[in-house]
Amino acid sequence: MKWTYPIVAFIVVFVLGFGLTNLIKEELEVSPWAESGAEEGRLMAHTKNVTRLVNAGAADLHAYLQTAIPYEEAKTAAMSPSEKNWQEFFIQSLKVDPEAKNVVVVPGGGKEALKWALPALYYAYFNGSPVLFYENGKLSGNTQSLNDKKIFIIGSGDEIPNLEELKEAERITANSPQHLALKLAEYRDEEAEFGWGREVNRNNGYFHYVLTIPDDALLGLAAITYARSNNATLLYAEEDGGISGELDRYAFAQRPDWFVTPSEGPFRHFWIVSNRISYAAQGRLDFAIEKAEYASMGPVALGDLEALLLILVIWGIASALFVWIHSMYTLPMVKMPIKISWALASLLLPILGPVLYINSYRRPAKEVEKGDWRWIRSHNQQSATATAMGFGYGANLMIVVGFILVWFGFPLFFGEGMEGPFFWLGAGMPIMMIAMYVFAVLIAWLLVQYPMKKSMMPEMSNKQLSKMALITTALSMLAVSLGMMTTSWYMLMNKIPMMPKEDDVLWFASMWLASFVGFLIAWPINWLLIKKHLKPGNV
Amino acid sequence: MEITATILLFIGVIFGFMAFTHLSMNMKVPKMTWMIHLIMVILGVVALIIYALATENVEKHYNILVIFAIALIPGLLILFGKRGTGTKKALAMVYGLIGLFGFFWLLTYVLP
Amino acid sequence: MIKYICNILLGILVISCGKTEGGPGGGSHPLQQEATATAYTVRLPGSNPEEQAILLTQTVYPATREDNAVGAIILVPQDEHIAFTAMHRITHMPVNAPMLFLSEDNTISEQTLREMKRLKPDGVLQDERTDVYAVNVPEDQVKKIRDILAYRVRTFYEEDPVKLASVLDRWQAALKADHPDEVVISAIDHPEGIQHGMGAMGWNAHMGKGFAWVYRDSIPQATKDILKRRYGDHGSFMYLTGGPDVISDKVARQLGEYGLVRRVAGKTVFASNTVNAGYKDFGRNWGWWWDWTPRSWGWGIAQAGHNYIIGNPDDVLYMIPAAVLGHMGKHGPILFVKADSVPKATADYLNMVKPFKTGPQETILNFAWIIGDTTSVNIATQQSVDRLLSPFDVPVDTSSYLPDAPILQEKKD
Repeated sequence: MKWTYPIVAFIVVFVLGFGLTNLIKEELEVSPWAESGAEEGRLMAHTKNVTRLVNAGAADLHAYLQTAIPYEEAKTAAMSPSEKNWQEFFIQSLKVDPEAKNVVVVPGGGKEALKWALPALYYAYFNGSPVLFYENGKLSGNTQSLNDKKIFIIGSGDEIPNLEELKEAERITANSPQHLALKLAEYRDEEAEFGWGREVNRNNGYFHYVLTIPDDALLGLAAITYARSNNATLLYAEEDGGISGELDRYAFAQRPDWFVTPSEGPFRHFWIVSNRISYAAQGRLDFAIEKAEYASMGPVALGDLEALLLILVIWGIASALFVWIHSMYTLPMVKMPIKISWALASLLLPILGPVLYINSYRRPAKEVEKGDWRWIRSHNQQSATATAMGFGYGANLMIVVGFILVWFGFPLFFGEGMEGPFFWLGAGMPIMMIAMYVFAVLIAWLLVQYPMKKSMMPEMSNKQLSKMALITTALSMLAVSLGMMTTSWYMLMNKIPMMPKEDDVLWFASMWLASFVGFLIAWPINWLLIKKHLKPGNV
Repeated sequence: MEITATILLFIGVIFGFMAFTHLSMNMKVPKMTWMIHLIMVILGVVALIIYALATENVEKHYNILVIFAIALIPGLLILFGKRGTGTKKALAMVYGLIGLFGFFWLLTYVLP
Repeated sequence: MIKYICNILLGILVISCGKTEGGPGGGSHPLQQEATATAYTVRLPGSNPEEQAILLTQTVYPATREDNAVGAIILVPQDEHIAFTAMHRITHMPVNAPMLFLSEDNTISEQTLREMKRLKPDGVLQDERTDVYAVNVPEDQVKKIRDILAYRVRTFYEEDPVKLASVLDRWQAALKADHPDEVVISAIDHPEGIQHGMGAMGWNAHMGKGFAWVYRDSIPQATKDILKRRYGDHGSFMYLTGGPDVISDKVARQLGEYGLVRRVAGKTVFASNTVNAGYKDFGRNWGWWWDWTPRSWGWGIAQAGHNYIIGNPDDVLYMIPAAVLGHMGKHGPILFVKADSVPKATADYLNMVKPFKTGPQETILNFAWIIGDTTSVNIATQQSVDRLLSPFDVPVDTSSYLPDAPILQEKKD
């Protein structure tokens, strides 16, 4: 008989533990299906947030974009860019704005210099900033034009030394072209009007990005027209075609949220110009900048409401561990079923659980029979204990039943017979609520309340015992359900615009919140039961 | 093989849980219980290794083997370390949590 | 030592979580050359409805992980009215389903079947984890899906689109435990009934409101049933797609019995859809004490910074699945153009929502999808749309919008 309690605990730990592990796993995965057929049979390479300009080299791409983007304002030089003429190509393409407040100094020369220069060239081309190239110890172009403009030296740390004429320059360096591009994407000097300033908290711009790899920097240069037509920032992927953790972080920071409908702006877009960037990376970026509702910010990303409620779950787990470990080591006179129910109750009652638990046992106790201890508690504390005894098993079981239903999908009834005022009884949520209550009551009755009553009142007949156990279980769970069901309906159907799925933090977090409210509602009801001596509150 | 490993490990989990329940109540763990746990877990891990070597699937569950390897450290300390019940309880808890996490991780692939 | 081992093991664990490198993504794609991209438009160049539907699912769902794969798939025969009804009611969340077509001989083509496999539906959790919604799909084809792909299929068999709307209404109500009170109403027996309602269908695929059919001069019983199901005696808010020539004033008057009637209409199908893009109706729906919900229907887009789905009104079966672009990604309403020109109604609307030049941090841009190959919308029209969407001036010289015709400048005998 004693074994029934750990079995219930096992079911709870097993199902909820699995659910939370599944949640962690799905959030950590990047592009798990990329190599198992996600790209098979594709007719073209574009996706909804990423356009891929497949090309046969810089000349091809440049020629294509000249006809595709024919705007005078975004015109580039007529010649095609190459590793030899890239500086000239850029200077011919650039329309210098005489009122520009900044000057950009970048390394000049071969292919390696282009890798470092390109992110800054994008901004200079967009803004009309004069650009000077540093090569073989000297600067190209007219340094006289630098007067009254702020100078930005951009490139790897060691390529451009401290020159006399560049004394008051601002240096922006990084340890790789990838980092440099990201730095410029976020950098902003408002006074000198330099840098894209596209940080995580700029949630209103329609930011476009051109993505290539440093080895294909020339393709990025061929697509520089996007810097003016689409205000596009240049970003780099890794040489192996993947994206770095930093770029991933940045792309997720650019995921826009919506408040009323997803058709509201802004949206963000990537233009991939290197053929070598993998489909997995494209899929990841497409997903990273997909719009999401404010509450959850969609999968993987952490929304504000999600973060707030996640604290509840994490504190709940910590509280349960604390109560479990504490009782295991320090309270040998408390019986196992009671310990388990305190630990399980604390799982759903972050902070409050441990507080009530400590308050219940830091009191004088006496041994009424051998091995049977009672604690002297106030009426309120007794009601809290009595509530926790039923709640620990019951509320957890309800969440377990709910999770199993969500995992396998709700049944749905919508036959013609379901028409009329009670059509909603065929829907998933009401079915889930009824199932949660019924199954949780049945399990708690058979495996918890009946054996508990039996051990406390051995003289009573089995029939009477089971009837009494069923009534008290059903009633106390009903009290918990009052708060729990209304809160979960409010959260899942009303507050959160998209009903969360089984792999969503918000599903668990809503259940945690609902249980907490359920406990608060059931507490005063148990106060009455204690008063009527229908439940013990001093075990 | 994946399913076989899961079933074997599941039996291992159940017996592990039974053993831990005994331990947490300061009772002596019956030899049968921990022996069955040990055998099932070993067989399960062997099945996983065979799966990893034999499968043509992209996912070879190396990460689960790594998690089990981590769980092995407190596991071995319980088995061979000469320590008091209090320490054993703590080690069992760490071992159980890591092992269970690994098993759940496997389950996320196996369940539909 | 143990600490050292733990560190290494943890490191391996973290690294093994995921990666994005892989083979080059710019491999050979048969339609890549036709999928022309300009600064603000990208073409999805389908040359038949089946191919168009596949291009759309490939665009919207990269399927590299569960979250960017589909919830379910809608499978329908190439029947305009059935497809239109299904797209209205099934697509939106929580279902999250794009549409694929059967071939003309009512079987699932190899290409479509492979695409269904690629899409890996997650299953709709509110509906028994259903993976495929098959509307009027022959039973042997349904069996094929179950046997080959092992997907869970829910079938709807209803040849009459009017009754199909009613069945789907009941199913949706059960799914959400609620009837959306806003109901779009289109004319089934008007040759341009679907075209006038295309934009409104896009809104439903985006927002999941109700839909029903009427005849030009009468209301079928099934539609009356749908409207009566709404909460309260006059609980429906009805949006008629098309003017009195499409849905008669008599029908509009009779519909008044079930609630509030509005028209979303212009003189042509082009105008009807631009009206739809700018249309917004909000106000009272229902309330009690501490809880109240306003009605809210229509895109209401009259400012820069939005996405559009642009195609040819003659390509009904291309445009219906294209509504999925309003359901994911940049979202946005459907607009129509002619194959060789941008009609005045559409051009005027796009001029209204034209962006302007901005700084790097407050950038505002439009975007559009061009549906169909160059026989549906030619390159010059795509360029004209691009210019209208751009923050750059549209030149006064509008020669680029002229259709191909002999030059009229010189007198010929």
